[in-house]
Amino acid sequence: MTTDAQATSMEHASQSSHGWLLAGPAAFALLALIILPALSVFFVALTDWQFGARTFSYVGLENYHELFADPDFYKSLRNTFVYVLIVVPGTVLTGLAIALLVESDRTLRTFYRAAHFLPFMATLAAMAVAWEALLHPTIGLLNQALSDLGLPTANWLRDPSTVLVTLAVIAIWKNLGFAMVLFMAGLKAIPRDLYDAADVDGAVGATDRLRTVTLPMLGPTMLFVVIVTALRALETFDTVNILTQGGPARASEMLLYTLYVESFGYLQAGRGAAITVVFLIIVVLLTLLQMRVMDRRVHYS
Amino acid sequence: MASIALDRIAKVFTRPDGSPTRVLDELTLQVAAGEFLTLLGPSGCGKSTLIRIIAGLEPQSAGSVSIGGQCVDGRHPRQRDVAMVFQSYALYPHMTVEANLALPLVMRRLTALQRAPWIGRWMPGYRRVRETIDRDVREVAGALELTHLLERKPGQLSGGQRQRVALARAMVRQPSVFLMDEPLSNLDAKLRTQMRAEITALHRRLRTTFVYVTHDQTEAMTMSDRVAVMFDGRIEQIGPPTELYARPATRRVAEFIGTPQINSIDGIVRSASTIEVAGAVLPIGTCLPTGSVVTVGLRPESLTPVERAGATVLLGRVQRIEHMGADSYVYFHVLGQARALVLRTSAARAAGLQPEMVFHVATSLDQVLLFDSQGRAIDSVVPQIASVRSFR
Repeated sequence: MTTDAQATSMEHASQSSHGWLLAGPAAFALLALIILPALSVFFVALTDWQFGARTFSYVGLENYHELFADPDFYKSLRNTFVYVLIVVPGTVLTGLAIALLVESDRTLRTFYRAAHFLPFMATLAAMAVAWEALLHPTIGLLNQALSDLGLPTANWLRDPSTVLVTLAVIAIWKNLGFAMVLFMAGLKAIPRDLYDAADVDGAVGATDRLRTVTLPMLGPTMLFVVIVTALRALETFDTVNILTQGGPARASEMLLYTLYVESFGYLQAGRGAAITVVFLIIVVLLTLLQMRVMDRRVHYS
Repeated sequence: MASIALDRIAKVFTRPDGSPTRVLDELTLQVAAGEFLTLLGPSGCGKSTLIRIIAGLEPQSAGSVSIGGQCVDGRHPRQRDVAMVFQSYALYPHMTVEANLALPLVMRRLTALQRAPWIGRWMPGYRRVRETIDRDVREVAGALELTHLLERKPGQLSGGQRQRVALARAMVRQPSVFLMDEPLSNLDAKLRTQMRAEITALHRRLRTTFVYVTHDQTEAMTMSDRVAVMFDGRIEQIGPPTELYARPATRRVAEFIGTPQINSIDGIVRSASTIEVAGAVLPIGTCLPTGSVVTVGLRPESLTPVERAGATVLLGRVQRIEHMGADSYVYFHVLGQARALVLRTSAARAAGLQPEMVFHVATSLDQVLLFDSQGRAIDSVVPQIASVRSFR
C-alpha cells in the first residue's frame, strides 16, 4: 500500500518536474522580457528616479498627481484620441473600398495588392522624408499642385490646425494596404452560395448585396482590422518625431511622443513611467471595449 | 407553376491552362408544369451546372432556356421567378429566421428608399407593405412548423431545421419554379428520409414545378415524377423511376440505379434462342449473330438460391453474407468471373448458406437485361414458360 502511494507520489513529482523543465525556457523568457519590465515600470512610476541617477526616493502617487494637473498632458491625450478617431475610420473605409474594387475585377489584382501593400512594408522613417518633400510649403508637390489649380495652399506640417490631420492622412496611407489585404482575405472566405442566394432572393444592387452579405460576413475581419489599426494609431511615434517633434505649439504631440520626451529628453523617468501606465490602461480598456461592443454584433459563422 | 424548356444547352469552361472543358453537351430537356423532375448523376456530370443555368446564376455557352414559355436567356435570376435551395442552405447567418424568410419579399415589395437603413421605416407605405410581408412570413413559417424558431439565428438551429428554413425561404415568394441543388446531402440518414417525405408532400401541396439535383438514386427514385440520368454532360435516359429501373437504356444507367448494384457479366450468344453465361445456358433469344459477346445484367433480386441443379441454373460459391434484417445479400463467385456477384433474398432462404459453400442460383429470365459491347440495351426474347415460372 505504502509503496504504491510512494510510487504514485514519485511519479507525480517526476511528472511535475518534467512539466517545469519543458515550460521553463518559455516561462523564463516571459518573466524576463515582459512581466518583470512591466512590473518595474509600475514601480518606477512611484518614484522620483531620474534617468541615469544613482539614487531615488519613493514618492507615492505624486507623479500621477502632477501628470493630471498638467494641461500639456491633456493636450497630448486629446491629440492622440482625435488622431485615432481619424485614422481608424479612414483606414477601414478606404481599405474596404479598395479591397472591394480590387476583388471586383481580376485584371492586375496582384499588382494592385502589392502596390497598396508597399507603404506598410516600407520603413516609415524613410517614407517620412518623402512626405516632408511632398508637403514642403513652397517647393512641395502638393502645394504646387494646389496653387496651379487655384486652390488655397497650407503649411501642412507647421500649421497647428492642419498638422494632426496631415499626420493622420500619412498613417491612413501607411495602414491602408494592411487593411486591404485583410479585407481581401475576408472577402475570399465568404461562401459563393450566399451571393447566389442573394441573387435569387433579389438582393441585386450593390448596396443591397453589401448590406445582405458582404458587410455582415466581414464582421470578424472588421473587428480585427479596427482593433489593430486603433492600437497602431495609439502608439504612433515615428512620424511625430521625424516630421514635427510634436509641434507647432504641441499641436501634434501624442502620448508616446510625450512619454519619450519626458523620459529621455528631460530624463524624468518616474514621470515617463507614469505616462506609460496611463497609456497601458488606455490600450487595455480600448481593447476590452471593442471586444465587448463588437462581439455582440459580429457573426462568426 | 410553369414549364421549363432547355434547348441544346452547352456549357464550356476554360481551364486555367486555357484549354476548354465541355461540361454540358447540346442538352435538350422539357419539364412539364407542375412536374417533379430529378437530375441524377455522379459528381461532375454537369447536373449542378445545368440547374445553375436554369436559375440564371451561370450563363450557358450556347442554347436557350425558356420558363413558362418565355425565353429567359440573359435575364437575371431575380427576373426568372425561380427559387433555389442550396446544398449548404445559404442562410444569412447574421439574420434571424424571420429576417431570412422575409428577405426575398423585402427585396421585391419594398422600394429602395423603403429598404434604406434607419429612414426606410418612415417612408410612405412602409408599414402597409411590411404588414403583408410579416403575414406571408408567418404563414409559411406555420406551414413548415418554424413559428417557434422565428427569433433564432441559423447558427442556433439543427441541420434539419436549417433545411426547413431554406425551403421556407424558397416558398415564401410562391415562385413558379423550385430549384433544389442536393438539398439533403448534408443531413444524416434518418433526417434525410424524413425530409424526403416532406419535400414530396410539399410538391403535392404546391403543385409547382420542381427541378431537383441529386447524386443519390434513392432520392431520385422515391420523390420524382421523372428522372433524367446524366453522364458526362448529356442526358443518358429520362423517364419515370420504375421505367429506368426495369428498362435501363444503357449499361451505365443500369449500374447507377439499384442497390446493391446490378451484376454485369459477360455472356456469349450460343444460338438464336440461348446465351451462355458463367457455365449456364439461359434460354434467352436475341437478334445478335451466334458467337457475339453480350453483357448480361442480373439484378440482385432476380437471383434466387434453389435446391436443384439444371441447365439454366448457375453454380456459385458463397464468398460472404450480409444480413440486413428482412433481407440478406449473398456475395458469391461463379465460373469464369473474377468479381463476385451479389444476390438479394429473404433471410429465411439465405439461412442455410455459409461461406465457401457451393450452391445453385436460378435467374428470373424476364428480368435479365442485355447490353451490347457499346453498353446499349438490346431486346431479348424470353420463352413464355420461363417467364411464367419466374412469377413468384
